[in-house]
Amino acid sequence: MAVRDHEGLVLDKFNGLWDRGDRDSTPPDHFQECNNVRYIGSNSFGTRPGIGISQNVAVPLTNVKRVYNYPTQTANTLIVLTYDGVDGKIFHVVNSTTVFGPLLTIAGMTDFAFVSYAGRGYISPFSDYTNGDLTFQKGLASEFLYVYAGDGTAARKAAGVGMSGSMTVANGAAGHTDAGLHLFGFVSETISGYLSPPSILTQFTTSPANSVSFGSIPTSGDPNVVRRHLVATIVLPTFNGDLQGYTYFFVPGAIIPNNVDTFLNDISFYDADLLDDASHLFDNYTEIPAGATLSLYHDRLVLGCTFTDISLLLISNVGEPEAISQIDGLIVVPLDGNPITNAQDLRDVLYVFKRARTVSYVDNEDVPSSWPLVVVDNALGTSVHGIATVLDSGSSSVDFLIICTYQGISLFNGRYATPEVSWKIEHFWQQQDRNLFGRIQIINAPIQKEIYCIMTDRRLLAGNYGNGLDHKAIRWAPWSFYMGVNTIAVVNIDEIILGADLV
Amino acid sequence: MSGTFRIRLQLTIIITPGFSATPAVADLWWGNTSGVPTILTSSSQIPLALSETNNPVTNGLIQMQFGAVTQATLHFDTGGSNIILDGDEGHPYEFNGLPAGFVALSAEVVAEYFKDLFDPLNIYTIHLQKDATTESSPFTVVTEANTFITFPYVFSLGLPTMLDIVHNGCGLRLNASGAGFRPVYFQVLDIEGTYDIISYTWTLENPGPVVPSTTPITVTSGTLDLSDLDIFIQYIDPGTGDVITTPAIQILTQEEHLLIFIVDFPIDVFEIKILAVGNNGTQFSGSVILGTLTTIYFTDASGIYKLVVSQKFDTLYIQDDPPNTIDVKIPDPFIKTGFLP
Repeated sequence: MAVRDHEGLVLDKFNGLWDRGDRDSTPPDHFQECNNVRYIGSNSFGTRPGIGISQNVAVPLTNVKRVYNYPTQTANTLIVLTYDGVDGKIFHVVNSTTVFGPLLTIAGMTDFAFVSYAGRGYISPFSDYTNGDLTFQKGLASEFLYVYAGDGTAARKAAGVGMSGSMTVANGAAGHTDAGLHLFGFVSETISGYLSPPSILTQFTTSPANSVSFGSIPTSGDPNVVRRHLVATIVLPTFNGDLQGYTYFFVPGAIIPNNVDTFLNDISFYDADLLDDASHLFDNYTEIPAGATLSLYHDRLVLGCTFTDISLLLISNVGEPEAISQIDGLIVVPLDGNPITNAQDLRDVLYVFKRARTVSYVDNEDVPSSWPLVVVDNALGTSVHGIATVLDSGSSSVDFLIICTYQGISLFNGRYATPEVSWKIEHFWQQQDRNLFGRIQIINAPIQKEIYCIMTDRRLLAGNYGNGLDHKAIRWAPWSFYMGVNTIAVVNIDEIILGADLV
Repeated sequence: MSGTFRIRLQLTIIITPGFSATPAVADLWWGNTSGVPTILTSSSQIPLALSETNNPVTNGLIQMQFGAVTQATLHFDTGGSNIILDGDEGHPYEFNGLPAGFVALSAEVVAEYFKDLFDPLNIYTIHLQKDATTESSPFTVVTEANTFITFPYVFSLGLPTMLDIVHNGCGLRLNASGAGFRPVYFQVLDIEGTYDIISYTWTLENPGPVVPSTTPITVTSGTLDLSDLDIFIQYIDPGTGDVITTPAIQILTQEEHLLIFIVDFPIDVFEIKILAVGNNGTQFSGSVILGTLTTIYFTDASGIYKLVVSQKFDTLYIQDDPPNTIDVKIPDPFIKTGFLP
């Protein structure tokens, strides 16, 4: 057949990279290779957008390892980890011209988990560890969960111990109590609402016609304590000498509203007023070990994969992210030698991930240790940053998750959808070094209809789902830069932030 | 490819007492405005001497006079930037700019000179000098008219390399048959020869697309002996636009067929050339480009960036000068379909 008899092939659709291992099978409307292209409209493509600097300060942050959205009460801001090879330092980037920090400096902190709660930031330092050939992430040794107030002050260790010392107790002015032996103590409350275990426990026999007054009350050595609450037992018919062996309750209205005063006088109460149990505070961690993942579920803080127990979840009380019971706030995810990598709320279910396993727990309105386990998938899981955050929410989009598994990038709505949305680039994805999956970080930018994923080689994989979010319609393209990018975040609805360092 | 080269030696005097078998004793003279020969005491007087027009004899010439002795020595420098290839006068080369693989095959000194018109019968012998202890056999000069003579640029140490020629220039030692006022005038002093272009093969492994400064760069060769090369990097200074050539690398391995090095220099440009210079000229003269790193050697372009949808380039921090930035092109955007390779 003569050349002139060939029928021309019109290429008017460009549906992105196709890399499934057999180049010859690449459809004519796909690319065998591409780099730094973006998709425009339904059928066009062009060069990717450029990048510009995000900070307008004299000393911009360098060696950026991780960036998270940090929605405060008043603004969308960033929380940033830099690492100079020795120390990890966390900064609060309020806007292009204002940077607070370092808020926290910890040797060996190469990564951290972060969650924002009530305007405060909770920070858990972690790093890479190895077990044989496996590289994984877990909480940094001898380190703890930190809380940042959001105001530029240094982050401090979350939770805390009670006060130490002793106090005097005496009958006060005329008043009323149920006469008899009571045990009294004080619970200190920090600025972040954390309630310490009851301390300076003291016995005293009250009189029926008198109130009770307390003197020489120690102040807390913790400068973050803003008030102190009186706790008491009901009348004890007998007392065995164990001050912590009884149930304490908050005494209504008996509060020292500062950390200065050393007295609280003329407190009257009946035992029937003692309804709010404070005994569980004895069981709480006074310092919470660092983990590799932080998330929120039903207004509880969820921390997973500590240095000493890679399959342990620590779950706080409702509304008290720093109050985690060492007795019943724990969940041990089935042990399989792999660490917990992530946890995410979806449709009132807490999904917990390991690198190749997914399980779920449901809040049964009882303590976390009683929550029932359901195995979701025994083959697919994700990495520490492998669940797409959406805008600045840091969580699921509408009714599904976008999750990076060893199989590819999958949609998850309680089960992993098949085929995965990265089906067209299956070979590309499986070329990634599994030991470097800790580098993968993914976000979903629904305004741009783009998925952005930091790859193990520190390029960026962009997936445009303007034509639909399914394995056929999505259009992929790797983006490279003249430096490696480590981290990505979305701020202010649709501003894509990239963090880069040298290593 | 072969051809001819010519280097016109600069009439720049290198005052090198050692450039003689015996201490330099000659004087340099030029004719002043009164036609009276005047002694030259420094190189800076050469242009003035050459522009002299009042003396028909010494006009534009440098003369060597013997005074009370019978021996004079001069050394001429090549200047290093006036290498003419294949007679192309309008395109002089610097040594480092010679074509890759340039090898000098032969060389000779060509001099046009004439003797003292007032002492036509004296006999001179001229030696070509390489250094204080190395010179050619004497060439006898007996004529008094303008004469071209040629000396093979050959010494007992063997065939000179192009680097030898350029570095050494040429020394002349004249012996007269007797002391006295017997100048010799030189008007042309060239080194001429033939050359060839030798092909070598090598491969520079480009580790892109992102290359931290600590990444070793590997060059492997087929025929090029890498063990005897000096390596340089060349880039355009983004601030001034100047072409910068610097040996700012750290050699990790340098063997006959393997060269591994890292760039030991914070470069804030996105394209650098790797140059090899034959450090003894036995393989080639000038320099060859081993390869171009089209990626970047930002030692640290780290920081926080944002996508700018309307921007057609990347703005990156300059490491040594933050928060200043540099705009670079978006690296290698391309697509490849199965139908359009």
